[in-house]
Amino acid sequence: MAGLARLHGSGRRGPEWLQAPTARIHPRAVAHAVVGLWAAGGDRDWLRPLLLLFLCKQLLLVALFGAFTGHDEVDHYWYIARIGAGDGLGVVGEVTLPPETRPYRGYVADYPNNAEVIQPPLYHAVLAPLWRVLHGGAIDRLFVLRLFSVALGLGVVWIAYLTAKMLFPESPFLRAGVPLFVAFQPQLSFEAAIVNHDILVIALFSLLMYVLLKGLGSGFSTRREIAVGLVTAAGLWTKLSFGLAIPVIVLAVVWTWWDNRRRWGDAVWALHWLVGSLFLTVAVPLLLISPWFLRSFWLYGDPTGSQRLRQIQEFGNSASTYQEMFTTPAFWRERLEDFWGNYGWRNIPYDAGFSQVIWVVWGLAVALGVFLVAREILARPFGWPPLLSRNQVRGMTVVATSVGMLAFGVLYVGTIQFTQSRFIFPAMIGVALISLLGIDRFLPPRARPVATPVLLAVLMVFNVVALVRFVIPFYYGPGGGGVLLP
Amino acid sequence: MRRRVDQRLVGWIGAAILVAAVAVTLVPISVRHNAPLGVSRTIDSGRGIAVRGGYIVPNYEGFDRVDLDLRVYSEEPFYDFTVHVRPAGPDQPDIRTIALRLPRSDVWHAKGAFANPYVTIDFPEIADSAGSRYYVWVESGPRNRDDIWTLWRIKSYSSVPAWDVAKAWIASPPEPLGRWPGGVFLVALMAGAFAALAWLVVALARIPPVRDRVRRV
Repeated sequence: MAGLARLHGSGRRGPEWLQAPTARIHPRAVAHAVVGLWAAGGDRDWLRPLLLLFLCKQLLLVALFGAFTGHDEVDHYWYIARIGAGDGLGVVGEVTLPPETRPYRGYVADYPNNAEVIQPPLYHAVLAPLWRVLHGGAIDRLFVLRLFSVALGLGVVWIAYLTAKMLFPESPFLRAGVPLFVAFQPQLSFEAAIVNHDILVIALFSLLMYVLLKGLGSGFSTRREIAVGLVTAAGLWTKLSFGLAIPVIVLAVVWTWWDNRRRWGDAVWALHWLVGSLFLTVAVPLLLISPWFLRSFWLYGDPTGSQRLRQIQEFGNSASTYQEMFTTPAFWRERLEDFWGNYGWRNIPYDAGFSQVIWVVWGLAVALGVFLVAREILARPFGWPPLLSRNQVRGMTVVATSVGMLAFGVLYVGTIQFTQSRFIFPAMIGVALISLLGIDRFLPPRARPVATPVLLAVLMVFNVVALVRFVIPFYYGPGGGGVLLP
Repeated sequence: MRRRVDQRLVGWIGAAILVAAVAVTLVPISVRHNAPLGVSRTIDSGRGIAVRGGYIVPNYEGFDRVDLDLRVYSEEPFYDFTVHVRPAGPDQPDIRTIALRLPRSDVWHAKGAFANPYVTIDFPEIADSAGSRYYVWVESGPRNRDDIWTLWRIKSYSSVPAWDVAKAWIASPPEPLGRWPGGVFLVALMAGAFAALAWLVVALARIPPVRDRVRRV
């Protein structure tokens, strides 16, 4: 009970039932701890409705998106079913989808093969017991499994708040704006409403970044390093692209070591700490994922199986080179379209005019962030007062590195198969911070009272218009809807 | 005193949200009909050739707009086109015929990567369009008869109140829930989302706007 009260963190005694001495944990106490969200002070006042709104929105989206129309949802569902039925992991090219998936063959990259069995199985293994206890057909079970993604999405919004609060405790706009941005980014919402391991990757990456930023700010204890290692291992066992987090981990740990090495005095001990920290945070997760690497090498001839993916015609034909991607404007337009729209299979693009408005508004916000970086670089030589503390600069550097690494991941995937912007979504909290930081620092004081409500209004209008004009009519209408691809 | 101000603020915000919600629900909005990738293709699959027309199936009443991706390859300053909309099937007469005169810049084949490649054509609505099949085709005017041009893609739209869109969704809830319980569930969720939004707006409006000074850590 005391723990719950402490986690509650408000400093107030709290309601009587929270204080009641009882041998068992009172259900209301648990609910209070969850809903109270460990948020300090008045932030709870808006966090509760935000999470409630996100929950309602996500449940609506679960109902909205047609069964098995999420990207790779057919493959992921039947991967879960395969493990749930005790049929093992399977090998790409040998595992075929059951005949009942035929109506959805247009939503499968390599029909009738299940290409997703090339992925590590953590997400699928976690959901397999739930699949087993559920009754009914594939569609009944699919909608229940989608609720797991909703729960993970709620976790991501919550971590977004904690991250913003940790880095920018002095800014009400960022504390509220970052979780708002994440909660209403339409493609992250899509991920959090379908059956796909990407949402678990997003949740784990968000958690990893939070722990790393915490370590960067207040030091890496052994427990924290083990936490980093375990979260990274879980991420790798969900999707191997999680490996893009490793350079970010190294940066955070090495930076902490660099800042503290003189304070520790003994150089050998400092080096010892660095080696030990890197072992726990980087080597341990790599060791833990090594059985999967060995299995892929044994089956496909390379540790990630990417060579096998390249052989799938639908995938391999779209592969490109870094130079081609960098120098093709249409490639960047598609990345912007994917980031804000398209809903997985690109079946629901926005109209050009609607997209252009989004890009201009977002572009201005990001440009302010870039301007802030330039200003902070020039602040010292010109004697201007800095707008960011040293901790904030360090934190944002690590955040920007994580965004950069995942952006590189988008390009890397493009050299193997067709690529999509969703590979950057695990860094959505970082994208939100980068998008809103410039606004926060350059906003005139008179505009501050309306900044957060205006941001909410912009995001709501964007979401409602996108849903009403494009997404709902794609699936539903008096004259039919829901396109099953040929 | 502060409480009174808050209550007034809450009242204004609540009223604004209600008015906005009613407006959004009742004012007609242009919705795009369902099609893979959002477009109808202009290809004759049987013969494997590109043609200057395509079939569309509006899934809403009030079909009143097409967006055409026209591409011209000849250096004329202006192009004359006629757009025909007719029910699909043999010997059907046009139900809408629209004449266009477009500058070359609107239809030139090399369109910028970030440009809108479509030309929007509005016409009087076709009332009972939901579920019907139409053939939309384009012919060039006499002046451009010998010019080289093509039609890449067609998008089609209806103007309907947002409420009609919501109604269509509520009428088709997820299969496992069943029609009536599912419909009630969706309405309850929409009401819940609306209430949570109002609560959130009020809560955000109460956040103290002052930013603390940056701590030099």
